[in-house]
Amino acid sequence: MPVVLLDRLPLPSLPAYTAVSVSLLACSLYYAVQNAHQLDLEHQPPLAEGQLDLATLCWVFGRRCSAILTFMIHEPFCIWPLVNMAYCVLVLLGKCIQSAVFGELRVSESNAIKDTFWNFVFYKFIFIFGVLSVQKLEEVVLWCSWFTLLGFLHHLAQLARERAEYLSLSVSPGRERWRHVRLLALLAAILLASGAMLLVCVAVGLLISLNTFAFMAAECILLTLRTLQTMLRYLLHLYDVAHSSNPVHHFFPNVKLQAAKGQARHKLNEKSGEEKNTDSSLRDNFAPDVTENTASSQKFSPRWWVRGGGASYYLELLFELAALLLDLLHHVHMLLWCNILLSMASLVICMQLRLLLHQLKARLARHRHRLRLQAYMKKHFPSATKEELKTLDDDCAICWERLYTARKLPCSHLFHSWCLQSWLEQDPSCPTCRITLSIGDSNPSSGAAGSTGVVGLLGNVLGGLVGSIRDHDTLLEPDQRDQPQQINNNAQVFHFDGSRYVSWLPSFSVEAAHSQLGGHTELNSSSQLHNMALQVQQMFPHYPLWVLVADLRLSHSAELTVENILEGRLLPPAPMFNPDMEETQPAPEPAQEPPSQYSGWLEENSTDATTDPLSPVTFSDEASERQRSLAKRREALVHQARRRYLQKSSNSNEASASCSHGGISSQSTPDASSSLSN
Amino acid sequence: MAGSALRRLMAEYKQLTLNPPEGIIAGPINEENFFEWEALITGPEGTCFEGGVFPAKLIFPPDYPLSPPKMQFTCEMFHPNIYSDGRVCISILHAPGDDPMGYESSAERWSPVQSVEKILLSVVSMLAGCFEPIYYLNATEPNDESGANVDAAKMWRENREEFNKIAERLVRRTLGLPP
Repeated sequence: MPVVLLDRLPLPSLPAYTAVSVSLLACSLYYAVQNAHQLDLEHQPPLAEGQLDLATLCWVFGRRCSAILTFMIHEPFCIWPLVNMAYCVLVLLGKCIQSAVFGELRVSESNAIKDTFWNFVFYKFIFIFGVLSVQKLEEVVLWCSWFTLLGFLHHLAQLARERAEYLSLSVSPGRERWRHVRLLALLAAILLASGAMLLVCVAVGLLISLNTFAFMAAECILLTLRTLQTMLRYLLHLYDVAHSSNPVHHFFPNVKLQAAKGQARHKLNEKSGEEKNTDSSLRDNFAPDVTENTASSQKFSPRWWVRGGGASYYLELLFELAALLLDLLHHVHMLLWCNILLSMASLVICMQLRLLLHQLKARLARHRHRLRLQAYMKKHFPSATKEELKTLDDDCAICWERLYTARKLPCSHLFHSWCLQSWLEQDPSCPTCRITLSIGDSNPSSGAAGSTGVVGLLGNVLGGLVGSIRDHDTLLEPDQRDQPQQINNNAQVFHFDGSRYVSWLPSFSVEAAHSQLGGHTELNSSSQLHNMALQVQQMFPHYPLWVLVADLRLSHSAELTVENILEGRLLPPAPMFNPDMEETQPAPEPAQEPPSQYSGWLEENSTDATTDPLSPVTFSDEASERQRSLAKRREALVHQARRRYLQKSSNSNEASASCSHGGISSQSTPDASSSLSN
Repeated sequence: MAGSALRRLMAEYKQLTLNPPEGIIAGPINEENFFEWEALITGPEGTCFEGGVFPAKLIFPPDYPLSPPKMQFTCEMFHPNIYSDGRVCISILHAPGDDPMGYESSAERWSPVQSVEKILLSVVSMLAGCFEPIYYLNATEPNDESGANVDAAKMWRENREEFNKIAERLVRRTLGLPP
C-alpha cells in the first residue's frame, strides 16, 4: 500500500538529488569553517612567520579539521546536511554497484526491490519505536545508521539473488563468464560486510547489553545465511550446467545422427509389440550413437548428487530451516521485549510470527512427505538391472537424458530415481501410462473425501497384483496389468459424430470420469493415441495427424486404422474442393474443380518442399546462429503460407469466375499479387 | 532446479529444429531467457483455420517437465477452447492437481512425458475441431465460467457459417492480408 502512494510521489532524479546534497554540504561546510575559524582565532595566537614547516602545517590542518567536524556535529544546522550527504553517498554507491554488476534492472527486479524496501522501512520503524521504544536522539541515530547499512546489504543481496535466478534461466554459462564472476564477487563482498557487521554486534554485546546484541546479531546472521544460500545454489547450478560444458554437446554427441534419431524417438519411446521388427532395425542404425551416449553418461554419473538429490536438497533444507528458526526466535524475542503486550507493534509481530510458524510447518511437512516417498520407492520400486537397461536402451522420459540407473514402476516403465521422485511428490502416478500408484494412501492430500475407501481398496488390489507380477516373472504385457485400473464407477461418455455434419469432420468419443482412479482406459490416454497415430503416419505421411488420431479414437487399434486407409474408408482431408466432399455436402458455390488444376497445385507444393533453400536445417552451437535460423524459418513459414493461401484463393476465384463469367477474378488477382509483393 | 529444465528445453528445441512437425515452428524468443518461447502454428488443412499461421507464446515454469507450460496465442483467436485473451485451455496443459472444470480425467492431463511438440500437435487438432467436449456440453448451461469462450462454442454449434467467416478473417489477418 505505501508503495502505491509513494509511486505517485514525484521523487527527484538522482543527479538533482546529488547536486542539492553537495551544495547543501558545501554551504554548511562554509558556515562551519567560518565559525570554527573565529573560535580558533579566539583561542590561539597566530603562529610566527618563520616557523612554518610541514609537520606543523599538518598539525594545524588536522586540528582545524577536527574543530570543524566537532562544530558541525554539535550544530543542528550542519548535522542534517551531513547525514543527508551520507545517504547520498550510499545511494550513489548502490547505483555504481548496480551498473557494474547488474546493468539495467529488469522491471520485475525493480518492483520487487521497491516492495521489500518499503516493507523493510515499515518493520524497522516498528522495531525502533514500537519494540525498543527508543527515547534519546543519539540512540535513534545509531539504530537508524545501523539499519541503513543492514538494509543496504539486504537489498543488494536480494537483487543478487533475483539476478542469479534469472541468469540460471539462460543457457550460456561459458560465454558470459564475467557476468557470473561479477555476481559472485558481489555476493562474496556482501558476505564479508555482514561478517564485519557481526563483529560490531559482538563488540556491542560485550560493551553494552546482551539483548541489544541478540537483536542486532539475528538480522546479521539472517543476512549471512541468505547470501550464503544464494551463493551456494548459484555455484551448484553453474557447476551443474558447466559440467556438461555445452548442454547441446553433452546430450547430442553426434549432431548428424541425432536428426535421424529424433525421427525414431517416438518409436523408441513406449514402443508397442507390433512394431518390434522395425524397431530393432532402427536401433541397429543408431547403434554408434547409442554407444557414444552411454560412454559419455558414465563419465557424468557422479553428477547425481548435484541433482536429484542428496547434497543440494539437504543444503537447501538446512538453510531454509535455519533461517526460519532464527527469524522465529528473533520475533519471539521482540514480542517478549515489548513491555506492553497489547499494542500495534505486538500485533504486527504476532502476525509475522504466525506466518513464520506456518512456513516452518509446511516446510517440515514437505520434508516428511519426501522421506516417506523415498522409503516407499526404495521398498517397492526395484532398481532396474543392467540387462533391462541394455535391452530398453532409451532416455528417461522425464528429463530426456540417458538412463544409466533407473527405478522400475509396477507398470514396468523406467525412470531416473530422482526424476521419478520429484514427479511422485506432486502426483502419485506413472508419468507414461498414468497408472495410479498406491503411495496415495500415505499421502494425505490425495485422500480426498469420499474416495478414500476406494483408494485403499485399489491400493490393496494393486499391491497384491504387484506381488503376483513379481512372482510370475515379468511376462505380462503392461496393458494387461492395467486392467484392474479400469473400474469406472461414474463415467460420462460423450460421442461426437462429426461426419454427420460435414464429411471432413472427425468423429470421436471421449469418456470423462470423475473418479481419479477410474479415468484410465487404455486408449483414453492421449499419449498412447498420439504414439499410435505417429506410427500410422510413418506409413502414410500424407495423412495429417489429427485425422489419424480421430480415427484411432474410433477404431482403437492401429491395424484397423491402417486397414481403413488401405481400403479407402479414411480419406486424407483434403482441400476444400475435394470432389468427395461435394457429393455429401452441397457447397455454396458449386465449383467444378478440374482435376488437372488440383494435381498442379499439389505438384507445386511438393516442389516447394524440395526446393526449399532451408531444408537442410542444422542446430548450431552458437546462440546467435540458432536465433537467426529460427527467425529465418519463421519468415519462410509465414511467406509460404501466404503464397499458398493466395494461390488457393485465386484458384477458387478463377473457378467461380469461370462459372459465373464475371470479372471477379480480374479484380482479385492484382490485389493478391500486390500484397504478395509486399 | 532450473538446470535440468534448461537441459530438457534445449533438447526439445533441438528436436523441434531438426525434425519439425509439419507447419509448426517453435523456439525461445530470446536465448537470454530460455523459458519463454514463441510458436507458430499453421491452421490444419481442410478446416476453417486452414492456411493461417497463428503465433503463440509458451511460458515454462522453472520446474518445467514437472509442471506444464502456459500457452497463449498472441494473435486474435476465436475458438471454444481459447479465452478471449488468447490463453489456451486444453487438458494437456493442466497439472494433475488442478481441475478447474471438474471434468477431466487425470489420464489426459499434463505429465512430464509430454513435450512442446505434443502440446502443439494437440493444439493443431484442437483447431481442427476436435475440441474437448466438456466445454461443448457446458456451453448449454448458462455458466459463464465453464468454457473458455462460450460465444465461440455456441456459434460453432448453431451458426457454423458465421464461425467459418470469422475464422477466415482471422486467417487473413495472421497472414498480413487485407480482410
